[in-house]
Amino acid sequence: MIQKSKIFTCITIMVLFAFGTFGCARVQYGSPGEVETLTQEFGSTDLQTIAEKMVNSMLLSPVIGADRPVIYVSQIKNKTAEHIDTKSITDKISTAMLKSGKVRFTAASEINKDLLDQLEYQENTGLVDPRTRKKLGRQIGADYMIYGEITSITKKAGRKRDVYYKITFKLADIETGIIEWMDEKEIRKQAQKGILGL
Amino acid sequence: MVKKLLCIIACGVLISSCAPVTSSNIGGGQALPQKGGDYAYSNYVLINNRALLRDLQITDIKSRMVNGLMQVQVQVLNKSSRNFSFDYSFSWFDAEGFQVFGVGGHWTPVQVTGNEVKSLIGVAPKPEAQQFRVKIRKSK
Repeated sequence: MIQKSKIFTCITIMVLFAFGTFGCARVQYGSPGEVETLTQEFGSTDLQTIAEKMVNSMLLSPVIGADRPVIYVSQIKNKTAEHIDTKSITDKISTAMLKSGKVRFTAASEINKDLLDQLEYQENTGLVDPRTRKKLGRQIGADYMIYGEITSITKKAGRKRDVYYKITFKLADIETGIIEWMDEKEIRKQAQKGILGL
Repeated sequence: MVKKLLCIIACGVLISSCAPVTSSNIGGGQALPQKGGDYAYSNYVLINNRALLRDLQITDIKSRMVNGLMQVQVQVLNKSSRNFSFDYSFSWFDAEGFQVFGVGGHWTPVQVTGNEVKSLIGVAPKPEAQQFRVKIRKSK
């Protein structure tokens, strides 16, 4: 009887230990700036290095002078087979460019309808104090437009997989249509599966 | 007694091998050195890995102003014939030593082939950023 009770206690302790070891997820904070190589897919390090390259290159361009040009951010086309949030890339670039104090961005590229709705609300509802009412037709036209694309080439051979990304950004003068600045960033990521295919 | 002594010596060796090899403070208003060894650049470059410090040499640091922003180029030579990778990160500070944040600040991985010279280029995020520091570490 005593032996049975000892065995039961032992099993209970082992089960509790197993749950304690494998049952609970361990959560900890990590640095957003860490190099991320968890999988081969497009990741945070790729986003950060692309944004840094483009921002640095654009800030050094002679187009960005003292007159703080107004920029319209167009879409970055994702021509890869992966889902890539290109808005996140342009947001990171826009944030850094704006913080530099060298350029300004028009909100028309993101919330044009909202801006129009707000202007119409101020103009037509009669609820807004006429002294503070904003007038139609006074938005500042953008000087330049940022656009670009992401492409990739993926190759597999046996257990090896190679992904090559090419990201191209352009800055075009809206009035003349001339591309005033252009740069690209290349990223190569290679992975090899283990012998067991993991 | 001998065992205790050996233990103390081993611990000492372990601690000294784990300690950062170079430490640096941003030197306010110091002129950039043009040439020199690793330690000559310790105010600007921090390499806190003994193996990297042995294999890498900072051969040149240049800075200039473009569009009112400081551009920095740090040239790193792989003294060994091995290919390996390391990470680097730029930090920027204003004239009073306060950190200025921008799009950088993250770790950027770099691959170097044997005896290759790599240029690490950084651009200040704002005109206020007048001093910089590059941290170099072994890739994880």
